[in-house]
Amino acid sequence: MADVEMAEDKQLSALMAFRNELLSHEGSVSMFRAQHQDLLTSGASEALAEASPELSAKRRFSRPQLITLWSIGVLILIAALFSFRGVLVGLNAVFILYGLALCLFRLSLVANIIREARPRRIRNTEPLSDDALPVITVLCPLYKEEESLPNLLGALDRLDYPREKLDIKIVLEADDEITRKAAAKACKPGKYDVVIVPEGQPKTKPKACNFALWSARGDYIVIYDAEDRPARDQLRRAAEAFAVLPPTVACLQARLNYYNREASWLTRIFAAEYAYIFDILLPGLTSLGAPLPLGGTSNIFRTEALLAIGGWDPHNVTEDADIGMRLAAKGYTSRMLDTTTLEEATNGLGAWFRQRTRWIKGYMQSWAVHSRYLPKSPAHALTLPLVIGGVIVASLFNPIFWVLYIVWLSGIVDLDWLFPAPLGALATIGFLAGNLILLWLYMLAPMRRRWHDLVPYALTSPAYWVLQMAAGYRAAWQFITSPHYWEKTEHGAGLAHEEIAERDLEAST
Amino acid sequence: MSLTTMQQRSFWQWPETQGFAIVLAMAGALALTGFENWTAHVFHDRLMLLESETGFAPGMDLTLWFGRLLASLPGTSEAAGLSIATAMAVPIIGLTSFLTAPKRPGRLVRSLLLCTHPLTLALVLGGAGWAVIGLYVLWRALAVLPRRRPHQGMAGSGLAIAFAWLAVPGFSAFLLPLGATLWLCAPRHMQKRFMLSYYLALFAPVAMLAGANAYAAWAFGLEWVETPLTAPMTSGLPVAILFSLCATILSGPGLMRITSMSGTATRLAALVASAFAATATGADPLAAAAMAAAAQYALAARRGEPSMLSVLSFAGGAAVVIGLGAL
Repeated sequence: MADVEMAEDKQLSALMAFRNELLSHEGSVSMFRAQHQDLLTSGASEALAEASPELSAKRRFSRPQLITLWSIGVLILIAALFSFRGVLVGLNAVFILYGLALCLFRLSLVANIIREARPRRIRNTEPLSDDALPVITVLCPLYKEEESLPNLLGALDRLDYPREKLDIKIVLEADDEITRKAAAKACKPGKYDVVIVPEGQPKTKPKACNFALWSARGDYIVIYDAEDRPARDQLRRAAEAFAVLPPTVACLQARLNYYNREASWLTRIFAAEYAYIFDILLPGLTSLGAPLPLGGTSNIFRTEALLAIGGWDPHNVTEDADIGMRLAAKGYTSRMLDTTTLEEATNGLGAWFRQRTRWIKGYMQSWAVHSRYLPKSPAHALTLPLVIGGVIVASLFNPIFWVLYIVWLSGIVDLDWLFPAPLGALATIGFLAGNLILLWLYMLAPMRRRWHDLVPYALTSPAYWVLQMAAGYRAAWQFITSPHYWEKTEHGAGLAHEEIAERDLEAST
Repeated sequence: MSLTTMQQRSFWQWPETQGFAIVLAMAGALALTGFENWTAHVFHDRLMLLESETGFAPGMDLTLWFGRLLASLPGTSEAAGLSIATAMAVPIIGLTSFLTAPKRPGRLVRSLLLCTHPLTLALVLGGAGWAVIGLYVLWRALAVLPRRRPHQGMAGSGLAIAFAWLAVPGFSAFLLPLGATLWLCAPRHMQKRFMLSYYLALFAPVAMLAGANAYAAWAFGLEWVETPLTAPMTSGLPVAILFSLCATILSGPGLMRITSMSGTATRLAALVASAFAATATGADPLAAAAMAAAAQYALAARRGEPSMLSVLSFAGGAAVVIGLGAL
């Protein structure tokens, strides 16, 4: 343990020293970065794992977790030797109770909508003059996305923020020749800082962001993906909000949704799902004071807080959800910012499937990481099992329960012993209410944006959930075989701002 | 609303006062629709009869459900459980009225008035206190629906309809008239194109509840309980009436959009036509009239100052026309 702490001090101290030196450096940033490439590379990959191994997904499970899991497994086996049926009934009861808790949580979200719960809304913000605005670093990690680059730069140009107060970093991988060439043409030196991340494992977006993190000049840092079209005033509003918020608020998460939702059935349900997550679920968690599993982009961080927690976890494939939990673990909070970034939803089934696999695998990593310590509050304890765990359980265990339930009802096999009173009634309530409430939430969520055309499609969301279950099993397999493998989501060139429907842009502000 | 405007209003011009009157009117309509039964049996005899008629099932009467729940406690007889469940309705009516009203002066007085009104007490003693709560909650939700943000208004109203279905005995009969007139409460921008979405989101909870009820009855071998979803199937509802109902719902918003015809007369005609189509399905004219009044209230509230006179004229007009039609 002492060795680990020494390593932590060394690595982070060196990175901090590098940043302090960089801030006072007057020459070329890229040259300065090149001089310290080894430090930045190892820091991007290993700083967190060395500083706080218990908060890193580098290891799937910690030793105490493995001991606990094995102990539970052995105890269940021993109990099964005495009463096999009793053990199955017990496990069934645990999942049924979990399902009921999920129902109650979803009902609380409905209640939140009705009572317009905004106790943690950011109030008393005042417009800041251009001079008073802070410098913001914009990280744009791209990989084989040369087609998207022009539209991304267009979206950044449209931001209502003084250009001299933006430190835009286009973060590219060393082996991505095509995008590097495109960036060399499109990104004028001085206006954009093109950061080349050296080759090495793990090859993930958080690692690329970590590499660029330590050369950030901004007081705040935001990530935009290649297909992002943020609301024009997003950064200005974030700066104004941060000006009145306490320093413990480390992150503001903008709402995300899709501008191409009318492309197909898949994109429509995807948009309804995102509306549920970013317009109902996350605001609901905010009102409870619970940590937020953040979205992948458009989250604006206080740089100091981000550096203090060691940046993103390069081994976690949903570094966004993880960092929200990790901020909470270190005593910081996150809030929602009422502004939207429109993105391009994956339209093809294959691309969606790969993306969803990565997300669920990342949630598995996050669940494993954040169950290694005691939660800071009841609300903190709520997020992990019900929000992050909910996705995993819904993907992996729902199919089992559906099959069991259908078999039980059909009477093909006598399963009455598995549902003794009152488990049968509770299972019925949990099974029906849990799914139906979620379905209704998928109907209500798009209405907030006046996307009423999506409401009838929400009725078909159970088919979408079946797809998610398939992705869940693939994710479980990858969690065992290749936990750190990042499946890149393919996107097209995306739409330019001018091509996005006016009503969608209106809905984003 | 400025203070000056507030001071200029008379007692009956307050939306809450009007709402109070409408709730009483709706409750009265409900009482009148079952007049014979209501007078023949009082207090728990009436409830016991209701129970024997319907069988114990969710979705029929919350008073029975609470009564049974309390009776399961040690030392509480069935009659005592029912008595307590019935009496519980009074403070809950007051509390609901108090909590669901906006923070305006006089809400405490109004809540007390609502609780102590003879008609409320008569309904409570008749075992239908929860019906008053159901109707009150429904009225509150629908009255603010046009003015709230769509997802908030729809969530509240959807739950209110489901709750009313649970709390009001015989509410199934209200559902069709309610559906037929509910487009009047739609948020303005939804009226143009999104009636399907509006109705889906609004009726989803009650449909889910009814579906779950029917499903549970089938899965656990309980006695079949009629639900709003199954009623048309089991009663052999003529297809023509369903068509007329759909046509009304679809054409109603169109009528509303014609500016040159947006006067009270046209609205009255649209509303009566809707209610008439719905009433032809067998629902009671008075129930439909009460719903019409509520819908008109919501409409008037959205367009400006709600007028008690217009609400009453709607209710009266609808009742007369529907009554004539029924004859």
